[in-house]
Parts: sequence; C-alpha cells; structure tokens
Amino acid sequence: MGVLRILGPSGDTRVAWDPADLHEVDDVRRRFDEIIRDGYLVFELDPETKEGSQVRTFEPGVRELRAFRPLAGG
Amino acid sequence: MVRRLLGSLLGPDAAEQDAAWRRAESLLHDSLTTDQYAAYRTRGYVEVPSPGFPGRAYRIDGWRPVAVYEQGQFVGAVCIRPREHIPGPDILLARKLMIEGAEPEFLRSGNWLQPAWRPAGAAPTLFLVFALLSPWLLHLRTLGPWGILAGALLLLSPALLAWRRRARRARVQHVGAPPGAAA
Repeated sequence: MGVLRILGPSGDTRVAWDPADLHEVDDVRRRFDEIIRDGYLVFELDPETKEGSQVRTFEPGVRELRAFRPLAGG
Repeated sequence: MVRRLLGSLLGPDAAEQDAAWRRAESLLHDSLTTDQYAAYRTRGYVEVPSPGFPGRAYRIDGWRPVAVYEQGQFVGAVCIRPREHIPGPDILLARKLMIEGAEPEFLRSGNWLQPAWRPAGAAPTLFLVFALLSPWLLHLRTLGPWGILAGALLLLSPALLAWRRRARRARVQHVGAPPGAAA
C-alpha cells in the first residue's frame, strides 16, 4: 500500500492506494497531478532513514509521500 | 451563537485546533526516525545535516526560524513559513523535507537572519570590565595587601573564566563533535 499525506490547516488529508489496483492508481495519479499543478511540493520518504527526496511524477510503487504548499520567507 | 455571530474574528475553534495539532503530531511521528522523534519530544527540535554544505546542520522546530550551525557554531537563521496556517509539527516536517530534498529552494525562499553583532573575542569585554572596575580596585589599596590581592583576583577572574571556557570547548571538540555539529 502507498500513502500520500497532504498537509493542511486542519491536519493532513490521507490518500492511500494499492499498487495492484489500476483504477485506484489512476485516481491517485490524477490527484497527484492536480496538486503538482496547484504548486504543491511533494516528497518521497525513504522507508529506513525517513529522509525526503522531491518527486514531480507519480510512481505507484512508492510507499510514503508527503505534500505541502511551498514555504515562503517570513 | 457568539461564535456564529463573530465568525472569523474568533479564529478556528480551540477543539479543532487541538485535533489538527494531534493529527500533525501523529504525522510527524510517522515521518521521523525513532531517534529523531525522541529528540523532538525531548528538546523540541530536530537536527538535520545539510545535504549540500559539509559541516552545516539545521535545527528545526515549528515556531522559530531555522537555526543554522556550521562546525557546531551558530552562524545565523533562515526565516521560512507556510503561506497558510498549518499546525506546528507540520511546519517542522515541511521545513525538514525541504532541507533534505530541495535545500537550494529552501535557502532561496527563506530570509537569512544574521546573528546579532558581538565582539569576536574576550579582549574587548575584559578591557571594559577593567575600565569600569579600576577606580574601585584602586580604592582597595587602602585595605592593605589583602585588599590588593582581592582586587587582583577580581581583575583576573574574567580572564580565568574565559580560559576555562576555552579549555572546556577544546576538550569537547577533542572528545567528539559538539551537539550542533553535522556528521
């Protein structure tokens, strides 16, 4: 199972998928492309080190994704 | 009723904020290693080595600017915030991920804050202490040799403290990396 967690004002929104379910994968891909178009940054977490690496295209095989709107100078 | 009338003036409901915070805490727990999460619970921040600058580390929390350390020394801070309100633990997570996966963008987007100016060494401070205390120290002569000795000790105490501090710092660097140093 893969999971995309989108950070927001009331906590994160969770989108999960089964890589074997093509219908589900298509739905998540559409959602992923939508948030990328909206300017969100998406990072894949390394399962061991939990280190983030930025991704711009959706791969159904990934386990953990985090997405949030870009940060700005304060 | 009051809430409905005043609407946005009151801001989000406290219970909603608590729920959002709990979700963000849970997400942070799922997104950090056990050690990182333990450090966050104990110290309130997570330390992340810079992927692009050897010897640099960032100390991240969800409310203050991100502190930047080089070879264990504080060199400044990066002020960077989300454009919409998100709970503190989510801010921490977003900052951490940006540093790890998009450090150049993190540095470009944030505002760099220099540390406040301070003398580079102990000499200016010692001079100032000496200048302020000298009339009083000269007056100690009237108490005889013990007065002169006490005055000399007082005069030397900042130098002794500075020497002890430097020796302790050298020992820490010799034994291992100081808490702020990157791997």
